[in-house]
Amino acid sequence: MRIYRKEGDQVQLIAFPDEQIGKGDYFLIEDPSLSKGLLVQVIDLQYANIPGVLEDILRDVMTDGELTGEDSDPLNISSEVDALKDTRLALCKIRGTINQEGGLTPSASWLPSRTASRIKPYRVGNLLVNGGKRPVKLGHTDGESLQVDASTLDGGLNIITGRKGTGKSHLAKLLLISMASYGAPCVVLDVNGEYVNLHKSKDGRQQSIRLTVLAPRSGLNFALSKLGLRTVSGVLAHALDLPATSSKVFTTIWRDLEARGGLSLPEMIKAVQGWNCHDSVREALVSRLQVLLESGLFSDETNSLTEEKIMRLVEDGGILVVNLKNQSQTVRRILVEIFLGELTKILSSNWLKAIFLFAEEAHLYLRETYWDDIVTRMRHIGLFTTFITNQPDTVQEGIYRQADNVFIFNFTNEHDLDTIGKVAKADRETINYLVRGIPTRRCLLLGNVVRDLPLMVDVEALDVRTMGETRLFFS
Amino acid sequence: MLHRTQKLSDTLGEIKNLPGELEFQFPSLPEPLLQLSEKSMVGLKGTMVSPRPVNLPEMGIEDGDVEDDLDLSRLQSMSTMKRTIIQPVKDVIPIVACDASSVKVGETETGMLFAIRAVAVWRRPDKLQFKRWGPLLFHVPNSDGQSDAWPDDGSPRSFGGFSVKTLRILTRLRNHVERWVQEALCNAVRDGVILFDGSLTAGTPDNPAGRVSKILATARSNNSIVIALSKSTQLTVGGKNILALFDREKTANLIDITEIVEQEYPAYPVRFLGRVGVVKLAQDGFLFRVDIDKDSSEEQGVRSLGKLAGTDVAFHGYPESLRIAHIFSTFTSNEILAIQRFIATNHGISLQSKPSLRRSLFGPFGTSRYVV
Repeated sequence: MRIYRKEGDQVQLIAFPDEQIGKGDYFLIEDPSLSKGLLVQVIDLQYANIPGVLEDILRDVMTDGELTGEDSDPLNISSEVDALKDTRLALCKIRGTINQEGGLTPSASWLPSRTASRIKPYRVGNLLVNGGKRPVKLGHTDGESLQVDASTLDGGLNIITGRKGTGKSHLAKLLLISMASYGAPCVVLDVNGEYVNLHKSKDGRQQSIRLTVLAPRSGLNFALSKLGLRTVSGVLAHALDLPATSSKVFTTIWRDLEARGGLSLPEMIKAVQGWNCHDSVREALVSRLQVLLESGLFSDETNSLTEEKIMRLVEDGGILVVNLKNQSQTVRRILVEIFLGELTKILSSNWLKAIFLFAEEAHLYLRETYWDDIVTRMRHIGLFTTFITNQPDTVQEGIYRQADNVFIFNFTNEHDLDTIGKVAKADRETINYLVRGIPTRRCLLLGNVVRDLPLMVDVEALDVRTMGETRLFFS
Repeated sequence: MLHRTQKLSDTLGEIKNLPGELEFQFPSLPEPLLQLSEKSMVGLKGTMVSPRPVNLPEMGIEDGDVEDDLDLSRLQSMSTMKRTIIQPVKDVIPIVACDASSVKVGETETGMLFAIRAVAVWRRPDKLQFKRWGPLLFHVPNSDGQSDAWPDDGSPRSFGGFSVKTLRILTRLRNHVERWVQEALCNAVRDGVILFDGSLTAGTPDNPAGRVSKILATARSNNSIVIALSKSTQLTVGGKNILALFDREKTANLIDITEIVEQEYPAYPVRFLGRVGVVKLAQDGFLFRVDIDKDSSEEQGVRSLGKLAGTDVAFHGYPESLRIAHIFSTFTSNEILAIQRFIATNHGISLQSKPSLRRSLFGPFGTSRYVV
């Protein structure tokens, strides 16, 4: 391999056909006279534009059809010609400098010698300290096991994205199980009901995972009195779009009922119906309270789910799956509103240090104002979210800019690639070149988890019932 | 797929009497030539080579056929010249063409490196077939010596002490390889037409008459005929090129100018071993100078041109087999790079471009009239 040219943060290498090189590979351009090396990553492979190659190909095309022949080539120079035709040009991004001690610095303000430098493959896994104190085995890169440090997922905002069926949920489950195994409290907002059997292996054996699945009319039961005015007002205002005037009346009724000690949903409906207010306000309140009643989330207020119970379910590595499958968008929004309120209460009271929230297709249930809330306020009180989506444009731009870790599976659509290109953890070219056309289960890792060195990984298989596969008719 | 401006009315497969299997037994490159190549490259190990830049528009070393640079100033009347209509005939015979190319690959401190390749192309019922020899590599030292010692027998042993000061030495070596291929074709082909690129003018140190005569005799002994076609010629009439004189010709015909050429040209040392003419092989084709073996009959010559016009002429009135032979012998830039890489890896030399003094002095105006 030889250095051809450098332009900006890109280096172009010439690679001969017998040299192993692939998209995503890292190479160290080592300059012995300077005792340091330039760390570069291949983002694209092209044919080297060698003079005369067009003439050669045209001649070959002629030979293919109406011409056949024989070469008496005593020096076997034709093999050299073939080698030149297959010579590749590798577009590489500079990722930093490796010093004599093997340490990485992001600086690249020097040029290695074109003639004296040695170019050799570099295993970036060495820089990731093989997973640190809490290794999470993500999969394989270049045939070698890749472990990342679970603490790099701590305190951050993560995005897992990719086309449908490329392995997003699979990676989310792997991260979820790994985090839980280190005692991290985890909550999953499960839109498709595909996390409900994570505690079982593929052959049906029980796994050591502590998993609780809750769904409306199946353990998910709340009481107005336990939720409190703030959470219920939030549900009415944000999930059910209650106007501000009605909201004020609701607060007054709430305080009156609370003082009288009769705070329940049926009692609340009765109180609203008998309250002296404008008909339109009464109508607005009654209709929304009826929705709450019919959601099944308040069916038994005497045995409700409280923040204490939630805390007990998730502390010390428990996984709580909130199954949103088959629920209407309204019920999903109500549930998420309640849950985020409850989690905020738990974290604000310092009952738990942090909770890891895995949110599948969050645009289906997350209200507009929560996006900003999640990356700012909730993050600071310890709610660390991982968004999983196959529609990258449904996630707000700010989320991409704030993301600490991004896991990108295959995308081919320009619009999708443009959206993901907004992540601050990598340049647009790297994402465009590396993500396009990668196979299923291969993923581009960006961010803290790989020390900001973009890395391709084949995600590890999981021995759990994932139930994430699409149901097929012809199978 | 081949691009053609003129299609034959019958496909080759439908043409009667085309030999079904045209397999020729061509020899391998002669051992002395291989040895000469090998020997010339010995001693390069550890030296430095300035590789030839491969982006020049002209890749080959063209010396031109200066031996027949002749102005036929006393040409009286064009109407007196013998003109024969060529009737394309589809009843074909084997048609085989050959060509050779040389190219400079680089310069060493002691000389020049170059490569030579030769090609033979022939028609089969449904396609063209080729045999290619080479490339062979030669290192020609700069030292003066036996540069003029190129005997008529064409023995490659006499290349030993070439001087690179005359580029014609390279032409001589290329001619030698080309003549060897022509000889091989004349030996192998029976009852056919053998097409050469160029003329049948001989008698210069670069192109000994004895060897060309021998080649023509071999072809005749196999009942074949040699026809040489030139895309350009130095023959002029009153300063005007003979190809330009007849450019208004509308039909396929042959204009024989042998007598005029022979009258005007001294008999020694240059010899015209063919009947010289201007030929148009297709109605909408170009004019070419043609040399037909002088010792074959005129009738056989015209008949052979008819068969050539009927089966092999496809591109601007130029024989397809000869066109392919030229294309397949020509070195592309990619091939020159490959040869340079081969030399570097197999002969232990390092490639280092020599700075161009001309470029340094004159910048963008540093072009040369001589493209070498």
